Amino acid sequence: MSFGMLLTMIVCFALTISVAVSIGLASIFGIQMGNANMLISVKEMFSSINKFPLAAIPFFILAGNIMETGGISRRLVEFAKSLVGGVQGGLPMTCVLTCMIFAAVSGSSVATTFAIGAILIPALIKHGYPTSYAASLQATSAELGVIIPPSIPMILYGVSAEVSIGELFIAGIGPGIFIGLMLMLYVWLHCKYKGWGKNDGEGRLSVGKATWQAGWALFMPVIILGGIYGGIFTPTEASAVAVFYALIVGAFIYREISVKDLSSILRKSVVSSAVIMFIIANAGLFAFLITRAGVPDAIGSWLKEVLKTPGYFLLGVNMALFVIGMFIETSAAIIVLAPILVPVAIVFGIDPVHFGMVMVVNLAMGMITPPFGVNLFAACTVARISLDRIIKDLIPFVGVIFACLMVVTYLPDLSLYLRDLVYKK
Amino acid sequence: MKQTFLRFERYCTGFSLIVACLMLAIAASLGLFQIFTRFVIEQPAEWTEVLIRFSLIWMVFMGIPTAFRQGAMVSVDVLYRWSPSNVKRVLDFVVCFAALVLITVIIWWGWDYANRGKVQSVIGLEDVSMFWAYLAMPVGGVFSAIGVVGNLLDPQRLELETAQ
Repeated sequence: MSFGMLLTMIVCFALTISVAVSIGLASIFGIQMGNANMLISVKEMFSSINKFPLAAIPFFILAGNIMETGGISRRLVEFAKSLVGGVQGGLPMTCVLTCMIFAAVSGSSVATTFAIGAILIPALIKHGYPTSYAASLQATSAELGVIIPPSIPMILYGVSAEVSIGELFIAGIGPGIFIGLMLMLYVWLHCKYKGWGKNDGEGRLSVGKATWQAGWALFMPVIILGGIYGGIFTPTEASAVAVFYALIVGAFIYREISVKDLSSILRKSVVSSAVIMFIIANAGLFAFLITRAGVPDAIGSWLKEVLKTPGYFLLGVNMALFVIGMFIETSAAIIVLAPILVPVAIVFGIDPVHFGMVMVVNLAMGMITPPFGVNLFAACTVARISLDRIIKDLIPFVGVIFACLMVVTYLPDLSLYLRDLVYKK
Repeated sequence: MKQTFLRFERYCTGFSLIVACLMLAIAASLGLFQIFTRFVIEQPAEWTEVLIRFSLIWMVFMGIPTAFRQGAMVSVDVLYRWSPSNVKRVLDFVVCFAALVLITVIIWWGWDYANRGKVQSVIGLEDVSMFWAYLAMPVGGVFSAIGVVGNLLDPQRLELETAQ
């Protein structure tokens, strides 16, 4: 039955049927084959999205869209430019740093690509960087959107593996900053080598002025993370606070959001959230069925048999996720795979929070690896370039992220140090 | 005939989207209200959490008709991009048929499930039966079916505009 479900899903994917519908149809097929009651389908779909922590997803999407319209992305670009823009290759470094900061207010990476890419890709091209380089850089940096908290994949991991979302959020800070720094180091060296970007520092604001302008935006992560770790509100409530904070800043302080904008922001957020939550509903049903059929146990004992040490286990998981990430959408992969892999990881003595970081960083890489890489599509759309033309420039970026993934995998303290500092006395 | 259906479809999908937007706005406001009741009036309300969950479920099922209509559902579209236009049209039909199968299941069994929920009351809101929460599935399903057919007649592919 499980094999038939998997096959149905793959055939549906290949026929360009949407991810949610493919997973749903595979599940229906499984129920039919297993002679179970079809009522399970709607019951499990409903209960997969009937979870309070998941409410943070539409709220963070809404908050991100409000920020984008509210002129916050432009101010963050100026702020990042004032900090790192002065050196050779400062503009690509600005791109990475802006994505890091924007990631701290938004939970998504495609939104980051559109918001920052719309400003920085044209600027990079104007300063003489190749279009393919600009698009690869933007797609890669935006991936930080899901690694630095708040993060939608982390919420999903927390819900499906029953791990504290607060702990996951704080664990993401270390790897996020590390990957950001490594990317900046890479572009800086690369620009030195190629002789690009000697005049990147032109026209930037002083640090003081840029900080003043971006102050309200920079204060947002402080409220969200401070609120969660100060024990004032839950991650879900923090997302609701983020919505209203962004709204007040955008509408009353920066005065860039009108009532008319509000309705288009709402509509866009509803469609984005509905798409992702519908995937979650179907993936939840799928995960329920394969768990009922005993697949996680079977895979788990097989993994324990074949990969005898934690080191090999992590390596094997990374290789598998790298390939899976190329083809499968991140949220679906997490919902289906986390319940299978996390129990095995725990048996191997791997902290589930650390394992979550490995999964999220790895699957985030799937967003920039073809054929199915949402960030690539978004960056190519903004840069108006076809996907096959950016592959050459993309490979080194994927290499950097892969090297970082190995560090995140084999250096648990990078993720766990801050977590232990906050959660364990 | 086609134009009449598309006009009808526009009203339906537009209506469901307005309901979905309203649900999102209500859910976000309730989230803020929940913090307010805990810290300011110091009497946390027990019904906010359940209402947030249910309004978001209504948002999801009333939002997917628009996602189907705009072709915004995420898909692995390699085959589509590489295909000549006559093959593309065949794929459009396949995609539409697949979605309709899933939606039919959601409508049929969702309605059955909602009726069974009549005897259940909502925890935290005891006067309301679970029927009203489960009802989101069949109702959203009906609107989705209209949206799916609308997209077949007048294709749009706005996958990236709303991707997360």
